[in-house]
Amino acid sequence: MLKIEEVYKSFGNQAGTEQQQVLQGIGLEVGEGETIAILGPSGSGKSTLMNIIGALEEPDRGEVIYRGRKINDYTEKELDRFRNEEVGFVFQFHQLLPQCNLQENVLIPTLVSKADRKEKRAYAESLLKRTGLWEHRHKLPGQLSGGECQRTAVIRAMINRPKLLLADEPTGALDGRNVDVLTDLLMELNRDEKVAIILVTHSRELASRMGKVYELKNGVLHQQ
Amino acid sequence: MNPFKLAIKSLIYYRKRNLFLALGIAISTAVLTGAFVVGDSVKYSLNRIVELRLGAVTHTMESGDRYFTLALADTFSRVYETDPAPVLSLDGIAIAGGGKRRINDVQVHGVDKRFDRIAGTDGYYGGLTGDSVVISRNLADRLSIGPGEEFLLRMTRASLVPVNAPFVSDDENTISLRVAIRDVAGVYELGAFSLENSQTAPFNLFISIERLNDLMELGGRANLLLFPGGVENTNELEQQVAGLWDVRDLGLKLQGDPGGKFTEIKSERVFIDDSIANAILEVRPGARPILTYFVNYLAHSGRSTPYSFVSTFTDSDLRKDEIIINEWLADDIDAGFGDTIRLGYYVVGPLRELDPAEKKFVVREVVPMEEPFLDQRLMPDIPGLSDAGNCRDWDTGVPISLDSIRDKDEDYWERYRGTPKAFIAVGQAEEMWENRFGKYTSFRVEEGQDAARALSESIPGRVRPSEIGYRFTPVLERSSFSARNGVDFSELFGGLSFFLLAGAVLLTVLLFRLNIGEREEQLKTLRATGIPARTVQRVLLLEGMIVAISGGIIGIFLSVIYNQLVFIALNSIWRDIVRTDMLEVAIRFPTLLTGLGISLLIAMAAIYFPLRKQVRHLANRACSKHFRKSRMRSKILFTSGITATAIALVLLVIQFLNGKSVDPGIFFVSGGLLLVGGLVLVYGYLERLGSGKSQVNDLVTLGIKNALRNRTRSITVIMMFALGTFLVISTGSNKKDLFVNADERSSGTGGFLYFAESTVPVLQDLSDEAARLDYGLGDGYKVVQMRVAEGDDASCLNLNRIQTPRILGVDPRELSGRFSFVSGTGRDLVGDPWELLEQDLDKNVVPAIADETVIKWSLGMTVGDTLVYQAENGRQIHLVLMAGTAPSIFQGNVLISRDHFLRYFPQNTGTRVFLVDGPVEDSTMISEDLEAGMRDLGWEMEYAAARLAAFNTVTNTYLSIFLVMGALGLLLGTIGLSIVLFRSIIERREELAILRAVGYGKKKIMRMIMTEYLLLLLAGTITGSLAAVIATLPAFMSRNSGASLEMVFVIVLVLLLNGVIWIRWITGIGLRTKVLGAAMRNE
Repeated sequence: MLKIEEVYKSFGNQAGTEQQQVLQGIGLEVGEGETIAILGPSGSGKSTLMNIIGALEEPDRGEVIYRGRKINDYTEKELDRFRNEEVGFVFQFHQLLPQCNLQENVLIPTLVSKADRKEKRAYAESLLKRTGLWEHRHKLPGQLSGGECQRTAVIRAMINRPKLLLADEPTGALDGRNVDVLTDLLMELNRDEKVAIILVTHSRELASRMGKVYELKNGVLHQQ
Repeated sequence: MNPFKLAIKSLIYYRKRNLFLALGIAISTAVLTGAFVVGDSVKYSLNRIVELRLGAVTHTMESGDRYFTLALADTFSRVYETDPAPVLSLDGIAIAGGGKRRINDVQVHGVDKRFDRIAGTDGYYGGLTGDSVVISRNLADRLSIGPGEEFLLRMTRASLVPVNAPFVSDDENTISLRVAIRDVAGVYELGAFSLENSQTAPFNLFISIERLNDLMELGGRANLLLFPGGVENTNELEQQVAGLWDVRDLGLKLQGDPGGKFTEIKSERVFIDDSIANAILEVRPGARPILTYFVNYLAHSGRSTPYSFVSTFTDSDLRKDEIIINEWLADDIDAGFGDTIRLGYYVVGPLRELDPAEKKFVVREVVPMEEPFLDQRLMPDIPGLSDAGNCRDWDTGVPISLDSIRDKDEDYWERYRGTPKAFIAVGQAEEMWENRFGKYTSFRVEEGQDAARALSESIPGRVRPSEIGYRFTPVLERSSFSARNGVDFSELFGGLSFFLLAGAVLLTVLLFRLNIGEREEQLKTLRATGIPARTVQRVLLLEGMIVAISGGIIGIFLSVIYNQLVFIALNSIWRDIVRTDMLEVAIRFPTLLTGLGISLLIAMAAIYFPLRKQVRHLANRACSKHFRKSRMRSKILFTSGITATAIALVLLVIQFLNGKSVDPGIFFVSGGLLLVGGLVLVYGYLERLGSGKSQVNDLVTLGIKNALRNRTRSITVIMMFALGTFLVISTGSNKKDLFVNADERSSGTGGFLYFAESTVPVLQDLSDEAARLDYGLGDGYKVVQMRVAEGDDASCLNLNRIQTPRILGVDPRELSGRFSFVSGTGRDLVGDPWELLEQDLDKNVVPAIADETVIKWSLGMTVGDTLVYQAENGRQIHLVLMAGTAPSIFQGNVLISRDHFLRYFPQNTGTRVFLVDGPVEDSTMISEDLEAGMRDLGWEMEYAAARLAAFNTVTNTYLSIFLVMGALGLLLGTIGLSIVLFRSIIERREELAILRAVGYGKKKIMRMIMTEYLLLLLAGTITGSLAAVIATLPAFMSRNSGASLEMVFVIVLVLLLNGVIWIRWITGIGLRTKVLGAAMRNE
């Protein structure tokens, strides 16, 4: 489903005099419904790799191929559609819109979706009920706990039934109990919705629940 | 959920921030729309004033110092479908309170019931009889009198004979009358009646025209005809008048010879105007022109006959040097055929200067004391002379030595009156005695008795009224034009409020940027969920639009309040620029809509561009390019900044190398370029620092680092302060010191001590000893006299657009080396520009000089442009503006040379504007001397410096408004700074909490934040003040301004202090918030 070939990425310092090589020829293949964890210390380039996979950043070199087509060849419109329908993103911080209630936040990605709104609403309802958030649907993010917000963020990422879920330190801001709840949720979704998951984490425990575990070291992925 | 709903949700959730944004937009809307409303109100008021001062008048016929018969108005209303109102309009002086209260420029209007139709009143003016008068409200207020009370009215004497004509006595040229006030007329009774294009109401007095005629012994005359519509155009009106008027309206008297041999045509004005003379000759080519002149003596071989009339009436074909004398004269001076006799006479100059002249003639014939030579009708009718009982009663305009009058002269007068004693050739007489009033004193048409009637019917139609000084004016159309095109207060206040507007727009941009900056993570999330950048932009734009519209609507309401405040100021502290209390507020819906529309466009631009940039930044996947862009932008900014600064410096160097002439415009452009260049360089520097390596060594470098984190935000704050400082300092520098150097000849006073005007014209040359004696004036000072051709006041005190300013006729030599010139071609300004006035250009083209401010602002012209006037002979004259003076006491007028003046306004009566030159230490003595001597002429005198100051007060008032707006703009800048500062503390709360955690004390953190913002404040203030000093360098170099480096220092200090206080206060609040504590715990 997704293939990453020889991806390089570097960042210049502020003076532009030095280049720091973050990713050095990353290669990775992700199959349908596969779960992958990427471990690595801070600043190792995990988030950059996620952003490149999610078409939020461009690699300096190399390709990201999704279902046989290079993402770099996508038009802006196709990129938008890719991010909206094929990929779901979960960040370390939930990034819910504080002005919208839970239900509205969940439905944000459907703003531009051509899919049946009713069906989306019903799906949102089922996911919210499944995660125990249905009774909180009219609450604003500020009225919920961090765990509840992060679960909502996961539902938001799943609302368009993507084939790939990218989770960047999704449990980084959660306490122990909430980490488990969220991990369970992700695994359930993988199981039930057949969504492939790439998860970046510091937590070896969380990583151990994924099908494959990689470690990003010196810009290169090493399978554990 | 849809984009609209999301926008509404965001709007509500971020309501506090949006409220601030809406207020920013409301301020810009209020300022902009307020300026439009002020403009509308002033325009409405000016138009309203036109209605209130003209009543029903649409056209006028003015005859100046000529007087047409009241019958002309009657005939007009009989023949045409209009009913004009005749008015006898004179200048007067009102004296009340036992002489304590005196108004020198009262307009006295003799009116009858027909004026009621003009005023829209019923019997109000028609009911005036005897010495009862109606006065205008402003006159009553100034004299502190009311109905039933009496006061003394002194008026210029209206005379059918021009008072300035040769031999006409100028004694008793005023008439006094004690009048009783019947009522005080308000604006709705046409109390503000005026034909002048000015918003300032004159002091009016209305009296019965019949009574006024009696007082002036005019016998039913008027000099102003007011038409309440029914007139197509002025050409047609003139033709209609020419078809209706009769010989009396031309000032002619026709009298048949009792013997039935001839008809004599004489003028009430002593001399017959050339155009009338031509008409007579056209009608009767055989008519004999006669010039009879009063000579001082006729002498031969030591014997002399004083004061005699010499005429041209003779059948003999005289050579130019031949003379015919009568027997009486021949006996008296013992002259006979072939003898050479001397004829002495005066040539009377424009100011009644008497230039004695003498001519020798050879006696061709001695004629007996019988007809046709014994004809006393040849003597012109000169009041005070021709009607005198004996020689000793003569009251002439020339000095008479009574000692030289002998008994035999009295006998001659008694027997023959003014029968000419000698006759010369008409051509010779014309050469000697032709003057600006004409060249003949009578005509004789040798036809029978019926000729008088035939001539009466045929002559008037041959004369165009405008040829003899009648003026026809579409006064309503012209006034409306002037009001419509008057000072545009929309533009003015728009311009004056520019910085306030710019400040509000910058604040809007700043607030919006802050708003979207804080929501950057949200926007990233939206992008990450696949929401296209355009949709994100649309949602935010929609939110912004709703905020803008709400702010705009609030702004519209605020604009009305702003307008009210401006009007309160215009009617009080800023009254100097409007000079009327008749300003009314006019709120037009289309104006509000226009203001709202433009404000919304500005607001949307202020929102759209930062938003587009932000969203583009979000959409950009190639983040690393950002640094490259930053470096490139830094280079571009540096190049642009250095270019702008270099151009500014080159302009300055050129200006200094150019030598003496200082062009303030170039300096202002240089300053402006320096401001732009400076700001761009600062921005470039921030960019460079932002993209470069730097080490934090202390709180200052840490402050700089922090300022670099959001460079656009930082540069916006710097810009607001730089612009504010620039405007405040440049405005302050341009303020004129009202009295400094006023005694210098190069200053706006020309070094003159006093500027004076008289209600009654001064006919004599006040440098002449006899004239000074007449008026009881002492020595030790000089009076420069100027003639006046009436026009509108084109000074900055008049809000109307003026097309024909008042003309002053002056002897350029008397102004030589005085005043300063700021415009004119380079060649023109070499030497003495006043000499330009003496140039002879094409026919009917006259060189003129005016105050540059008049040329530029009141007339909307430049040097080289032409003003068109109607000369006294009805022809158009073109006044070419040759040069412009620096702001001077001549503001409001156009100056031409006295010679040109008299060529085109030959019959103009005397001088009415005066400049007094004398030692400053004698100023009190001079003032008392002139006030006492000229009191009865309605002498109004003020210090030249005070007059100049009054004009400068207007400029200074405009600058004050600018200053107020600039200060308000700076206040907005400070508010902007405070908001940025507060938000910044909130944004950085975690970081600040960490600093606290690692041991930074509150004071240190405060110092760090203050350093950061003081740097922004300093950068803005220093850039703005340096640029302002350059922009107003001429003011710093001139001693005639309030500009000084001390002033700049004080302003900068105040601005910095103000900034420091706010920064300290806001930082204190920010660091006190619980949020910081919470953030600290989180971290």
